[in-house]
This record gives sequence, structure tokens and C-alpha cells, in this order.
Amino acid sequence: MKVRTALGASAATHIVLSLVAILSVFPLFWMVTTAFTPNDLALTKAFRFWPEDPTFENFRIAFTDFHAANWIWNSILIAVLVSVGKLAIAVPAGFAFSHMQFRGRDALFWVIVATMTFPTIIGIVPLYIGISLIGWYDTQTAVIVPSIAYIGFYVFFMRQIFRSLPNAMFEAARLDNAGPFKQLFEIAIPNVLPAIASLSIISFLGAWNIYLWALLVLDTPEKRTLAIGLKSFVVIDDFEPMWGPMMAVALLSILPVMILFIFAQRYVMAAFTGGIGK
Amino acid sequence: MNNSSLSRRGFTQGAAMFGAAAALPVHAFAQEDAVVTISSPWGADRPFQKVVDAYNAKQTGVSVVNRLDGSYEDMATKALASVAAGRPPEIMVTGWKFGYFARRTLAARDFYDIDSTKADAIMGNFKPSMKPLVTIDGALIGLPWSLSTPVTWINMDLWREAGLDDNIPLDISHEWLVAQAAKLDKALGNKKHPTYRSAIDLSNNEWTSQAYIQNAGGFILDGTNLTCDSAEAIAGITAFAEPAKMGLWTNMDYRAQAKAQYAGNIAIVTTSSSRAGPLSALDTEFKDVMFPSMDGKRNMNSGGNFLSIYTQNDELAKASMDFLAFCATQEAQAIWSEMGYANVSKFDLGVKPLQTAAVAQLDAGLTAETIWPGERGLEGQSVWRQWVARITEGVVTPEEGLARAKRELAPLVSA
Amino acid sequence: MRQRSNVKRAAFSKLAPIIFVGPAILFVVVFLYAPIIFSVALSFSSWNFISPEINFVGFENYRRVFHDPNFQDAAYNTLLYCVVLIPVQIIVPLLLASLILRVKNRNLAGFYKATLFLPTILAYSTAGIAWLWLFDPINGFLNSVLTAFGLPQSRWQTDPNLAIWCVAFVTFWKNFGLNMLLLLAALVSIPKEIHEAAALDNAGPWRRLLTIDLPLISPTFFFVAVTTTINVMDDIVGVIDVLTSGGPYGQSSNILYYMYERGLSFFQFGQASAASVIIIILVLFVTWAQFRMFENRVHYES
Repeated sequence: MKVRTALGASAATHIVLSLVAILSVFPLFWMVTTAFTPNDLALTKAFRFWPEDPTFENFRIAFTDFHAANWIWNSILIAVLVSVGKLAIAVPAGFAFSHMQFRGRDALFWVIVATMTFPTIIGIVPLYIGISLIGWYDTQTAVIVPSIAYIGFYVFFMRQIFRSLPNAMFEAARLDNAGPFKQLFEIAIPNVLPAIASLSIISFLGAWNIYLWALLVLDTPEKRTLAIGLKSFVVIDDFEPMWGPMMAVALLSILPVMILFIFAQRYVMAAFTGGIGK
Repeated sequence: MNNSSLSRRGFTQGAAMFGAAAALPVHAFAQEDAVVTISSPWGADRPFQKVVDAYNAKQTGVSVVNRLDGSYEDMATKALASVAAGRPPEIMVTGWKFGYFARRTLAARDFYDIDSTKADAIMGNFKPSMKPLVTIDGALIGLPWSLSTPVTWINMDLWREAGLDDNIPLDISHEWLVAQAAKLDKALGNKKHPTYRSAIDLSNNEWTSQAYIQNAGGFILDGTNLTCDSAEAIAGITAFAEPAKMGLWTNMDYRAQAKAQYAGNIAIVTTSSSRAGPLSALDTEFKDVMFPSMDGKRNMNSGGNFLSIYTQNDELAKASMDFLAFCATQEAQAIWSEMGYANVSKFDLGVKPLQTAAVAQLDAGLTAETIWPGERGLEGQSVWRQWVARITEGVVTPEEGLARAKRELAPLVSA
Repeated sequence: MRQRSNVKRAAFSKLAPIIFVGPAILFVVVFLYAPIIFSVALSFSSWNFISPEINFVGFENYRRVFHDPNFQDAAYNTLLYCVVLIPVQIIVPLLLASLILRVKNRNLAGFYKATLFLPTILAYSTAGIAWLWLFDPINGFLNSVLTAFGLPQSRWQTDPNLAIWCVAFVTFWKNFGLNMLLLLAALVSIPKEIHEAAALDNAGPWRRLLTIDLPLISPTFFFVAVTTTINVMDDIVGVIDVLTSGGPYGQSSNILYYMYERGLSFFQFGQASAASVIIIILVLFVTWAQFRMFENRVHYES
């Protein structure tokens, strides 16, 4: 016999989901606590849930002794440029693969989509050599440009989306003498704006989190991003670990995506439903 | 190159504007200044920055920028990339252990090739015993900057809580330490974390194990000969691993170890003497005694780093020498001594708190830390760390572990 | 006049596919395919990056990699990560998705969805650091919990036997939300009528999930399987780097981390490239096997 609650599912369902929800959020809660605990107390013997004397000191350290302001700006800049770059390339390609006829179409499609399976750091050694040789080392360009290349999923996704638009729509346009650009910009894109919006969110999240590659090619502290700036706090040599400021930066690195996520949740969900649901 | 510098400028401007808006201290340098960048393991909150600031305040026409790049290994990675890209850091804080790598692979400059008068003046401010340590393949490649040696740190609060004798001798032996650890363990039980020695391979277990081997009369590397499986080395590493085997030490990684020590949670830690600075600033009371001796003998090793010049541009190299000349002055040495490293200059800076043991070991004479030779020296260090960790974890016997370490190290050392 | 513009337009229309598809091809060729081809070349040579000399060494790098105990450990760990994480990272999210589906209150369902998805949006470094704090072997949260229950403390990620499971757990924690969302979206899209028919047949909820829902969402399921495989091979490197650096003594490393270390900590580009060629062959094989396995079972509705 099942106990039905007023909420419409068995109590066990709610218990399981609540436990998983706690597991998901708890480490973040812990991060918030530490970010507001004075650094010397963050290290002490006793374990505590919430600081008795919450402080913004860790944030001050992060902004003055480290370069948290630059890191935020760089993270945003890189995430935006990578997203824009990916969309600018993937949207027309997806359109061509769904509503245009040309030689080698399927082969080219698979050349692009096959890259979905490439591990992101597989080419890291040659890329690192190449980037160094052309003088891009220690520039944000070195982070942005190669990151744009991971468009396998985006092209695949956009093709699926454009395929959902009836071909007749474009045939009619062709009869009206609308060229391919007009078809793309005036007919196709306006009809799939929600999908593009959600794709840009996914891409923003991905670029926001670029880690190993950026760690490798960015030297100057002012040029680093939040994700790799965090590494500056990990204890080195024989110094007091900066856990408090580190958690403050970690928190800063979550905030923008969290806000984006809250406001755009529907789009993120819609992206997955529309694209590959079936 | 043009494209990238254009976009770089764009980014920098954007970042600078943002920085200014956030009221960051934006360093304004005169345009004609030569800019010398130092790749270092120290952030803006450490005494090294004060040395740099003191130099910049003099406005000599050279502006120095301190750049935090991470651990010695991280810095080496970054340096190699930037050397290949043709823009090495002008100066890099280089670990003693990477001496050969610095000279042979990264092409660290010989001070005498840059400015022999200044080179002599700089070295004249340091103890004569330092010069051989910074001379690699006959070239003077470094200003001896940080000298540390492993010592024993005792947390007096926990010590007293366990009811142990406050009168701790400066010169302690391995047997004495193990006996105290057992007492501490018994008195404090499981709730405290009485003893701890060295990190497992996530970080620097290589030089504390080296100290044990040398105190037992052996060496890891004798010149370029691997002697890490000698009877003395086996005796040393067996003693090194003994407390872990007895359940008296908790092996963990370096980060956790540092955090726990600063939090006042570990009674005994044998690690770098350079913790003197940060530990003396804490509320917990610490005492420093010498590294445990073996059969009453010690042949301690040193560690730390020197400042090397990597730029191939003569003007920048000369500018770098100017900064190094400042680093060798009493003024700079006095600022730097706050950090907790041993004083290697000829100036009398007084003994700082918690440096008694380090000074005693320094006076007795220190060997270099293991400088891994060959193109694959960086790997050598990593292999050694792993085998030390396996031995302390008890997954191999000391004999087998050292024999296998030797087998794995042999091709790396001869490469 | 009009005719000329038509000619121009026709020429333009012919060029359009090149303009639309060209940049995508250019980017994947230059930044994804070329490095791999270059890796193949490097894997047969000996070069330390700075020296002008590049020597051809045949299969020497491959021989060294295969004989390297660190590679053997890393390969074994990779297998372990895959065998454990791939099923867990698919099955647990599927179960969670079907649980959320049963929550009728829309706000509550939305709340569960959002909270479970939250870890997915973190950077790997952030996730690693959050857990580093909880795992702290001296007085971290998890050890406090163990102590409270009178259990012995653990060294967590610094324990050679536990390190790999700590990395696996954090990777799961960081990724299960995305798979849950994908599977949930697919489950939601199953027409109501099918479920109503199933209810008439007296099929229980779990049997319904297995026999009716799964075949219907097989395209998504397939997609999730492929991306999870890549994720377990690739993205895990970020967690390894922050949490354990592959240690203690390589106990939590994987082949990609091995490659990264060879190449960018030790500058053995030849060996690193040999490792990357091995990885690419492995990934292509696994993906091919997955395609073969699912080919006949994926149910596409056209």
C-alpha cells in the first residue's frame, strides 16, 4: 500500500528527491559559509555550520591582493565571445545541412559531427606548440579561438532544429526570389529563436568553465579567468592556505551562471526537449 | 603577431578599465621604464611583493612586476612554454632541485656574461658556501634567495594537553621522536591528530625522505650515480616509514597537511623550516627542534630557491641584474627575512623566532637537495615521490620499493 | 538589369553552402583534426619543444608508453572509471527523472529539477574545491559526520584505495544533473495516451519504464550514452587535477591525465602524442561499438 501525499506522489519519492537535492546543494552551502568566515577561523579545529562573525574580508582580499575583478570580466568576455563565435558558425552550417543541397553534404556533416566524440584535451600538445609559435601564448585569443572549434554538438543540434521547419516554407521563399541569406536570416532564424537562445546558454555555461586549456595558456594574473584564478589559492610551497578568499572567488564564479540559470531555466530545458527529445 | 597584439591590447584595455572601475590599485609605470617580470610562487600578500615594491619605489628606470605562477613545477611548465614562444619571464624563482633543468633546458643566463662586476658584487653579499649551490655546469645562474631545510615542528598546546615534558631538547633523535609520538597518541586518543610527517606524493615528500636517507649515511643520487638502493638508504627509508607502519602518523597530501598544521591540529610535523614566518604569526604556540638524527648522525639537505635570469635580451638582462643587486642589499634581505627562510647573506639580521633549529642545521653544513640531472629530471622527481609514497603506505617493502625506484629512475637520469 | 542581378544571385546561391559550412569545416579541421594528425607525426619523433632537433624514433614512444607502469595503472583506472561511472551516470539520472515525473505539483517538480541540475553549472575546479573542503582528512565535514556516528575517520582522496572513488563520486555529482534533465525532457515528450493504455494493461511504473518508456526515448538514451562515455574519459581530468593530481602514486589517474602529465608537466611530447593516438583509437572504437549496439535498437520516429 502506498502512502499518497497531498503533493501527488508517494512519500518515498519526496524523501529520495529531497535527499538528492540536499546532496546537490550542500557543498555549495558549505562554500558560502566558508566565504564569509575569516580566513584564520576557516582553518580552526572546530567544525561549524555558520560563522559567528560573518565577514566580507575574504572578498576584499580576493579583489585587492588577487585580481578577482579582472577575472570576472575575463570570464564574461571569454564566455560571450566563445558563445557568439560558436553560434555564428553553427547556425548557418546547421541550416545548410538541413535545407540546402550541395555536393558532399552528408560527408561534411559527419566530419563535423564526429568531433563530438573527441576528448577536449586530446590535441592539447600540438595546439599548445602551435599557439606558442604564432605568438598567441598568454593571450585570451588563445583561449577563445580554439574553444570555438568544439561545434560538433551545436551543428548537429541546429540541423535537428531547422529540420523541424517544413521544407515548403523555403520552397515558397525561393519562388519569391529569396536567396539563401534571406532564407536564413528572415525565415529560418526568426522561427527558431528560442532554440538559439537555449543553445547560447549551454555554450555560455561551457565556456564559463573552460579550465585546463586556459590554465595552460594564460600567464599574466590579470588575464586569467575565475575558473583558473581559483588555482592561485591552492597552497603552494609553505604558505598558509587561503581557503576563505578561495571560497569567496569560488562563490563569485558560480553567481553569474546561477543567475543566468534561474532566469533562463525554461530555455535550458526547452533546448534539450526540442533538440534531441526525439 | 600584429593581430594578436592588437587584440591583446584591446583585452588589456578592457580589463584595465574594469579594474579601475573596481578601484583596484593600478600600477602606473613611467613609459620609458624597462619592465622586468618575475615568475614566482608568491602572491601580492607575501613579503616578496614588499621587496619588489621597495625596489620600484626607488624609480631606477626599471619597473619590476611580480607574477604568481604557482608551484615550482607549475612555473617550470609556464617557463618552458614562454621560452618556446620567445618571451620568457625575465626572472624566475627557480627551485634548487631544478638547477640542471634551468641551465640546460631553459638556458638560464650566466651572471658573469651579463655584468661581471655586478655578479661579483652580488655574490660578495652572501656567505661563500652559497656560490657552489648556484653554480651549475660552471655558470653562475642564480642569486641564493631562499634557503630552507626540514626541521621538526611541535605544537606546544597539544604537547601540554598530552602532559608531555615541556623541556624539549633541540637535538632530537628518530627514536626519541617515535617514543614521544606513541605517548601523544595514547594521551590524545583518536580525537586529535597527534603526529604527522610528510605528504604523500601530491607534494614534497622527496626531501624529507632524502634527509632520512642521508642521516643514515646514504644518498639518493651520488653525482649522477643512483645509490638509492644502498644498505644505508634502505635503513634510512625504513626508519622514515616506520611511524606510519606503527599507525602513529597519518599520511595525507600536502594541502591537507598544511591546513591541519596551521589550524593547530597536528602535534608533530617534520617539514620546511620556512614555515617559521607563518607559524610564528598564529595563536597556537609552536616550537622548532632539529630534524631527527639517525644513530646520533645527521647529514641534512637544504631546499628552497634562487633567482635566475632567463631573458636573452641584453638590455632587459642588465635591468634584471639591477634588481638582483638590490635583492642582495641589507635593506632587501631585512624585508625578505620576515618570510622565514634562513639568512644566507653576510649581514647580521638577527635570528627570527622559530629559526633556532634551522640555524643549527645550517651551521652544521647542508648538502644540496637532489638535483635531478638529464633532460627528464622533472620525471625523476615524480617517480621518486611515488615510490616514497608506496613505501610509506606499506604497499611495497623498503627494499623492493627502492630497487624498483632505481630501475625506473635509471633511464630517466641517463637521458 | 533584373536579369543581371538574377545571374549574380544564382552565382551567389551556389557559393552559399561554402559560406555557410566553410567556417565550421575550417575550425574543426584547423583546431581539432590538424592537432590529431600532428600528434600522429609527433608520436614517431623525439622532440623537447625548445631544441631545433627533431628525430624520427619509429615506434619507440609507443613501446615506452606501453611499458610504463604509470600508463598501465592509468589504463586500468580508465577502465574502472568507465565500467562504474557510465552505467551509474545513466541509470541513477533515469530513475531520478522518472521520480520527478511523478511529482504532480509543478512548482515542487521545478524545484527538484533546478536543485539537481545545479552542480552541472559549476566549473570543474569549483566543484573539486568544494569537495576538497568536505573531504578534508583532518576535520572536514564528512569526517565530522563519521565521528558523530562513532565511525573511524577516513583519509578520503588522500587514501590510495579511496582516491579513485572520490574522483568518481565528484564527477558523478557534477554531471548527473545534465543526464537527468535530458532523460526527463525525453520522458515528458512521451504522449499521454501511451501511458493510459499501459495503465489499462496493469503495467506497474517500473515495468512501464523498462518496457515502454525506454524504447520510446532510445534516441536520447543513445545520445546520453555517447556523451557520458566522453565525459567519463575527458571531463574527469578537471576533477583529477584539482582533487588528487592523479595521486597517490597514480592511483586515481586516467589515460588522458597521463597524456596531459607526460606532455605538459614532463615535456615528453613524443610519449604524450603516442598516448593521445592510443586514446583516439580507443575512443573511436568505443563510439563505433556504441553505434553498432544501438543501431538496431534505437527507435526513430520520422
